[in-house]
Amino acid sequence: MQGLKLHRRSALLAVGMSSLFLAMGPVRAAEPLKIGVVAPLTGPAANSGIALRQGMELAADEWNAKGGVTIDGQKTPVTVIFEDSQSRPEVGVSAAQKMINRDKIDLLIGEAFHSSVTIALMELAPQFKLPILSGEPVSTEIAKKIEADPEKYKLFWKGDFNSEAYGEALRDVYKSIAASGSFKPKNNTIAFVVEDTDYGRSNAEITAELFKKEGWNVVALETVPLGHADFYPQLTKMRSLQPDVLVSIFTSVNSGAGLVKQFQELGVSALHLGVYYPLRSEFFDQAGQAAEGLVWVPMQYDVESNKEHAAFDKLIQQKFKTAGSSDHAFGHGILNVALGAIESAGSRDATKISDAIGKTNYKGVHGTWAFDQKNHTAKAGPEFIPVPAAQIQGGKNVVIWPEQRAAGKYQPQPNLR
Amino acid sequence: MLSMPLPLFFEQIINGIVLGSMYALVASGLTLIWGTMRMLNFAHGEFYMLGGYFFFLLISSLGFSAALAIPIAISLVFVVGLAVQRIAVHPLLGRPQWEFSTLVATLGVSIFLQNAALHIWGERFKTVPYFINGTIDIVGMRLSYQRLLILAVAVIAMLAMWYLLRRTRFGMALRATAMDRDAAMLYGVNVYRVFTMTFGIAAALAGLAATMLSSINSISPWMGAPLMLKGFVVVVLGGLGSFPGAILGGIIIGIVETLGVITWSSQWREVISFTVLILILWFRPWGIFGVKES
Repeated sequence: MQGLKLHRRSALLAVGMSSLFLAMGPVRAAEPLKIGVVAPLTGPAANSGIALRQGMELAADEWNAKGGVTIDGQKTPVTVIFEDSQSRPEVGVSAAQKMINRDKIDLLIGEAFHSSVTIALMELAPQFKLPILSGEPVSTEIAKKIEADPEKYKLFWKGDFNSEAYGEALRDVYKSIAASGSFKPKNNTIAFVVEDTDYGRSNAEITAELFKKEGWNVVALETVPLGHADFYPQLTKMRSLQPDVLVSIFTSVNSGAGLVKQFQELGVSALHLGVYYPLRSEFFDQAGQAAEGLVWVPMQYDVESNKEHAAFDKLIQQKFKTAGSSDHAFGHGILNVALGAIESAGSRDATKISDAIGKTNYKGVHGTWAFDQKNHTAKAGPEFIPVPAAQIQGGKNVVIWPEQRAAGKYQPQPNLR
Repeated sequence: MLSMPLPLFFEQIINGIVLGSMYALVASGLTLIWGTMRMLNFAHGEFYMLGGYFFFLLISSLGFSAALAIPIAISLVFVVGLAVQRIAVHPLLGRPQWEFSTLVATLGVSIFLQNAALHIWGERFKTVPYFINGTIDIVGMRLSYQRLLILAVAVIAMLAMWYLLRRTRFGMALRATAMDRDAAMLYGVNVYRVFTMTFGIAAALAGLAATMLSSINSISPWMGAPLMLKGFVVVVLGGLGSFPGAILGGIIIGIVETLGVITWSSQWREVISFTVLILILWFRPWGIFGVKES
């Protein structure tokens, strides 16, 4: 009888404790919200990776100052965990798996910068049922994979536009220059010197296709390793091929600075269009006078004429004692997209978060994020993430395209004969 | 390649020789260490990186002239090389499995120096101005003064090294140590001192390469890795431990890579240089100037 009494008491205690835990609601809601980020924090792309991290840290601080993200009606502090990909897909995947399995992250921003690492990381979304949002990668291959199997990649979203945005911007800025009569091609030939990454190749291939449709011939596609800076062999080849237009695409600033300096030294006579590297302020320190006349995209960070950018730049300088950049603004924006979506979902549920990312309409310093539902890709354009073209004139960036945003006109590049 | 005008073809050859001379400068340090100590130094790229940063600090922060900054930067890297050898390598020599433990130790030094540079100087690329601006046009070829200077410095450095190895007592001691360490010891050569000095000289050669190339490649904590990889290819091609092999191997790889760019495309550059390496090793597994082990 005594034994039966004890047994009944234990059972009542167990039921009571269970009821208490149930009444307390989901235990996880009290835990901080964990966002994992994979970015290149070492290696030739580290200056961009670290700037992205700083932008995200600023955004996380802003959310935490407000008490955090509301989940299940409760303010939840945000913790952002950063891991280094070293610009290598296999390292990025390993870092992400560590954060998924050990840190139990609720959402992954991966990769923050490289397309090649993102192509590897996006496979983790269906595998771990985890919402993943990429950062700056633009390679169209990512969007193509999503379009080919939308069910598999339903939890994956691409945080930046596709390579077509760069290609169309390059084609259209060229057309506007040609229409102004400032430049006349001799043979309608175009050449590319780009970094050997998914980013470089995808942007070059898409741009090449767009120019081919206009009747142009591609005379060279030279790919060099990330961080490469000796272009004499490639530029001597260009002197022989004499393309009308040369397009250079690099994420590593030293590559871009090396190319424009050597381009000037060797006197290559081609209209030079650059992609990405002049975005970084240190490009001007490194390239110096040789940068004069370069036409480039995307001019997304303009401290001198955009008050919002200037105010953001001040925040970055105060917090990190460094000049702000487009990468800082992007990092800030993409974490806001992620946290905004989780707040909208009000839950840690992967499907609910993913659905909320799809409905995003967030205006940040970098632009307005909204996603194409067909390929889960951020939209490009003046209303969304803009891709304006600038020319370096008198040591300053002057927006020359699109016309409605232009602050000046194209000036003939000094190397053109 | 056939459609390329002849002057541009020769310009490309000169590009290859300049590139190759830098490969040779980096590879000569690696081969010197292998030849003398029979070990691979994985921190060699970081000696190159430190040379770049020391040069940058002397030029940009302290306002030194290039003529003064170059020898000071090289001397500082030489001292770092000596310190690394004494602290990280010397205690392991002669112990069981020392061939592997020294390799791991230099790998550790490499990681430490990269992260120390990141912590001290940050992730942003640094640069130094050219020593001489401008170009010269000779029979349709356009050559940069900076590159011609790099070539001249590399040639002088190689001649100086040849003199050091062939015409000085230290050079004799080093060659004796490389041939037979035990016999050299019996004849009174302090082989451990030779090892330390060899490490320092190899580091100084990497430092010299950095001072010459910093204005082209820019300075970052990771600048040493790609050049060191190419240095290893050159050392294997020329023959492990062979100083003339490092020079010839560097020039061959430099010319083959640049001609590969005009014949096919830059994306085949690595494929071409590794194919040349495999072909040469197919016929001479010990490298061009290497010695076949009996």
